[in-house]
Amino acid sequence: MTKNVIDGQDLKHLTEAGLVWLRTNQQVVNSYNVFPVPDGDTGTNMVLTMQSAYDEVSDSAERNVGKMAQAIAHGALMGARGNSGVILSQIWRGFARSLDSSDLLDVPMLVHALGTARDTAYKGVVRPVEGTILTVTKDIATAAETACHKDGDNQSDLISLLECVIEAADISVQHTPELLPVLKSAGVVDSGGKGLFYILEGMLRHVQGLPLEGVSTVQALGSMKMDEHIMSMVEEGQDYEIVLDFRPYDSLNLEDFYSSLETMGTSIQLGEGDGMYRLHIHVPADKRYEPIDYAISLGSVTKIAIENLSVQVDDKQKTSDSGKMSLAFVEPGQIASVAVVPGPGIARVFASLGVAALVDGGQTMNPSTQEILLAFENLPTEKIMIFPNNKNIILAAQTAASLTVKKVAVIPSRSVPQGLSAMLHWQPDGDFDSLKDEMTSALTDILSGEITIATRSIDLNGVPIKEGEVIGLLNGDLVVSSSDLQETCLNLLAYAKAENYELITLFYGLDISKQQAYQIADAVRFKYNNQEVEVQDGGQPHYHFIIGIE
Amino acid sequence: MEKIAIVTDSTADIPEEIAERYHVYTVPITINLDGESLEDGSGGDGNVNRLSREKFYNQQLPHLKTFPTTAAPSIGTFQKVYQRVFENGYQHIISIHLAKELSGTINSAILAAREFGDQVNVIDGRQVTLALGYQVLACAEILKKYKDHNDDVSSVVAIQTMIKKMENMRTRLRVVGILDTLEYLKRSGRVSWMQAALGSLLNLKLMIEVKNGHVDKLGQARTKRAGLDRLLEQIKGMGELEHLAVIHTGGGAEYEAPEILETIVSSLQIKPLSQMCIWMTPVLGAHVGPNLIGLTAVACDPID
Repeated sequence: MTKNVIDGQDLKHLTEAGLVWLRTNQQVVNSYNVFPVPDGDTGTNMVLTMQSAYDEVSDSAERNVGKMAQAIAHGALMGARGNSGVILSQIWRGFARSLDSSDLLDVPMLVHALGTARDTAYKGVVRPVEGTILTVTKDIATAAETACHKDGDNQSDLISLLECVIEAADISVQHTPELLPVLKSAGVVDSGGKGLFYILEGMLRHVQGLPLEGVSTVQALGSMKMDEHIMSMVEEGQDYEIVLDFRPYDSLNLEDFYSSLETMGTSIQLGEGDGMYRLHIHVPADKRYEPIDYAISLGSVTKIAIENLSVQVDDKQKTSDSGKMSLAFVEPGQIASVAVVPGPGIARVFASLGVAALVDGGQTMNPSTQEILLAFENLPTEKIMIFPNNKNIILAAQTAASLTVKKVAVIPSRSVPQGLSAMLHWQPDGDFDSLKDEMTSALTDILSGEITIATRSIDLNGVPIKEGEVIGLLNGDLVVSSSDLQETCLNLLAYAKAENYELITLFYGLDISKQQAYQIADAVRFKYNNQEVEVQDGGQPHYHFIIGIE
Repeated sequence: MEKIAIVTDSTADIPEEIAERYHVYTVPITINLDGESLEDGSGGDGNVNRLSREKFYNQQLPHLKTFPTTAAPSIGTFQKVYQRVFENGYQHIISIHLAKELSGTINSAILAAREFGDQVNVIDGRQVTLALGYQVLACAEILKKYKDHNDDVSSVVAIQTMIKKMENMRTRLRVVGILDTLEYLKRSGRVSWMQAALGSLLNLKLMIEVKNGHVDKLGQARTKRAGLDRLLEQIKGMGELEHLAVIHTGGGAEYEAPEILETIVSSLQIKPLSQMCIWMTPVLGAHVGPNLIGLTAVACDPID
């Protein structure tokens, strides 16, 4: 099968195929998580970015390939979420720019477009890091150039070039741990690079006529927790979630396995590691023992967890009451502040300090460029400061800032405490540039602590950490762990030398009760009797505590 | 030339011995503590109920059942003071007071002055504490110079010169402070933005600046140290200084104040002509609460 040119409609169908195949493998991409913390899920972010790209053109009858690419790039940019999503949108942007308004795309143009995509992607990042999606983009472009310059005509058609590019992407992804030590120590490959690989592979599968959906996939075992729901939506009648670990007697026939499970329930996921499998499934009440019996028939079951999802959903709705808050009113000409907030309590604190607009988002829920852009556009002033409050949202905020005609400064806060520290300097009538400098330098006036649960076992910086242990991060680095929440909090403060500071602020999250939070605060007060200790209901998910030390 | 006297009120925060040396008359302001009325500051008629600052901040204020309130001097109080000044052989008075937005004091002074025709000029200093006090002392310096040089200047010219001097000084001074508690300023009703400043965070140190009769919000900090650092930066940004003062309201701040003054002075390339560390007069302290650190500085050149 050979094909020498493609038009706008072909590109649209390829984009759709890339999206669908990426979505099929979304959880696999999510599972390549470096830190054992609930992190911004790369797979989800890339799918949402691709979805936005495709939605932009799904009804389009455009045949001009350049114009189609530009529309796709625009959609990707607007929907870009998380760092990988933003870089993906830059790849599309470079690709589209290279095509200009050409009617058709041929081999030399594709080679050139991949090169421009690489250049644009690198330019979109302040400090490019190798061993990431950027490296994969670079290796793809290089492979395409090399293939094109080879003698002979066996590379001259688009499909052969695509095959060659995918092979290069695969090798590049496998090589990422060699370039980025943190990947190697976590035993994973780069998730963004892997996502890009799936997009390209989806395009090839489309051309080859292979299925893009309903295909069984297996993800890294560590990504699937025994006690956490991967699916946020619960379908009608699927009341119970079963999670079980088993070791099959014989090698597992995935297709038979999936088709048997599909008769029992939905939301089926399978993780594999070391010959061990972990199964997630949602089932109706009367079928809740069937997956267990089935697994027992296949091998030895080591662990079973059953949870009633309908009860969980009710609880969640009860606790999501966010209370009242009022946002600062800004007048045209004044400087407005926008904060990305991971929980209602944190939103209230930012609002009380004078924030004019809030964007929901944080760990595992990175807002899109469009959501941030919308917050900018809805403010009545032209001068805006934004606090991303998470390292995975800074790039999206910068992209949104570049898309508006308004004057926007991204104050690159990597945590909630950093954002608060900077926000204290806000002056609605101040000088924009000096305020920006002042706020940026205020980011380091505070230490940021985070307390969460290890989502899998890992050996990090020589410290062995078991799945389920309570871990403490200081300024983004994992520094302490223990089996006890209070102990980890105290260890983190000791590591941070909190005794040399004045004020410790504890924002407790959704996962712990007010009583529990106050008990731990009392223990902190007892140890740090020269420091002020303040407790706030942060309401953030995943993180038991976000701690400011100043 | 005619003898001109300078009258001010206790909110100028001029230390007693300096006021005496420059022959500045100070009208006290009344403060009510749990039903007891006391006179603030120095000067006045040498009234019996004068308030010790240290005792007020560290012994009385923490134990009051109700928040202290203050009352502007009556027209009669001013009339008595003006009368006494004229009896002491002066032909003219320049009466300099805190900004009209912050107190009714100047209103009483203006009404009292009507009894004396052109003999009393009442001037709004647009400021408070030593930012007002330094203007008063600059006027006293002008009078002293005339006297030392035996200059025969008419009262009209002398007073115009003093008014110009004060206007000029107001372009060169700043008065800033960091509050330990928001409670007192909130209750004082002197600021419109206070409700908005009361945030969700419990530990929030508010920084304020008095500008042209208004108390503005300068910023906020989570810790006193961080707030002070920012205030110090503001003062350092003023360039070479003529005067510098740290003003506190006890409650522990009296121990920090001398160190803070030392820190600023040692960071300056050229030392200020004058520096002091004082307790704020209770009538102002009643509106900002204990443990406040305030900084007043007058630069050699206009700021901004």
